[in-house]
Amino acid sequence: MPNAPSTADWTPEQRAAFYARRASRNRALGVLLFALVALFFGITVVRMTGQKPPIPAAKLPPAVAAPAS
Amino acid sequence: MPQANIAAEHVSGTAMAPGSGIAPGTAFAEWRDYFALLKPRVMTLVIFTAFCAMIAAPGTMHPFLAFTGILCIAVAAGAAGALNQWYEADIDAVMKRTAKRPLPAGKMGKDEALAFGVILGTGSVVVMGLALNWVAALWLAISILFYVIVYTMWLKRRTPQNIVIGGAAGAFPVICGWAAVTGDTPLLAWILFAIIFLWTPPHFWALALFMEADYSKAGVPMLPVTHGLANTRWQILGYSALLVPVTIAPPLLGLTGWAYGGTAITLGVIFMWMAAKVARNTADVPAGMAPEKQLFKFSLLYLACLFGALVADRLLIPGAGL
Repeated sequence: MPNAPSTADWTPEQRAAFYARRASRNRALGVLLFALVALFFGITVVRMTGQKPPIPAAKLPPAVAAPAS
Repeated sequence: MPQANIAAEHVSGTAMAPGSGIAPGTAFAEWRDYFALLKPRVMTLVIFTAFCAMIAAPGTMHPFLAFTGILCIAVAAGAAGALNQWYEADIDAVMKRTAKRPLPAGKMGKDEALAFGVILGTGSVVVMGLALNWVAALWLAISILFYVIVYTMWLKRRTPQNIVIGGAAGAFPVICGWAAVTGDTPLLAWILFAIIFLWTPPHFWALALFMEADYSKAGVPMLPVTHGLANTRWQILGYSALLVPVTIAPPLLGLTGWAYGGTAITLGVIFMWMAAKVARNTADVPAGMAPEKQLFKFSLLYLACLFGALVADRLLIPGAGL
């Protein structure tokens, strides 16, 4: 790789271009993180609500439905 | 291109292309560069075929989980594309078609591309396993590894049959899509796999014929470079003759209805006619390769219509042949 100029040697245009690119990437990263949170939240909700409903008490054996105290 | 030079490029890490217009010290990849690394155009086809396989597969699925499955397949395809570009930055730099990609253009370091691909690939497999099932996740992992290791690293630079074997990499998403719904991979899923597998050589060799100079310059042993244009044209016809019967197999085996079957026959006749035109062509410069360009464009439409017909068939006659 050729010798890269140090940040101190940047022209104002180069510095502005660098900041613009970094800001753009940071915004995209923020959107991506939010999307991941939404995705995992959605998966969790669907997986939890998609479970078979609990067995109604009427169908359980009497000893299980109303255990003796 | 000498193998030693290629190897040297691969261990050198970050490489900034001269003349990229970006001072090395200010190069900082934007989100667009990462997006370009995912090969979004290739991803479109992968998403479409996987989506069609998910609809064709028997069974139901919550729409959000179906979306998650498609997302995982798309991200995995993107990860494979990123790893492919990481490994092939040297070839991409000398080919006109690929010279503007983020790595050869100097917008991103090779290490960044490698990390990006590995993280996306691993993440997509894990999410597929946790959200849907581990059979689909296994096929997803196999598809990434096949594309990166078998196709990109092993075959592409060594054999003119690279596209034939590499076609399997593009065919795995239908297996992943099907497995995401059912948790298994029955005969129809593998027939869909075979359709994409056999479709790939005519599709890519048609492109390689009129881009032959580019591949030759990059030292990639594509069939037109190693075996000549006439041989490639006859192989296109041969693979087309194998492809068409496979597309017609599902209705014959009772796995789909004839809404799909009629479409497959019609499209197959047109495909064979175009492949025959390519086989008869003798032009050796791109300007005279209209049949090759037509076949390349039609092959995209062909696959889209074929899978579209499969979905339509399944929606018209739910559960047919299952």
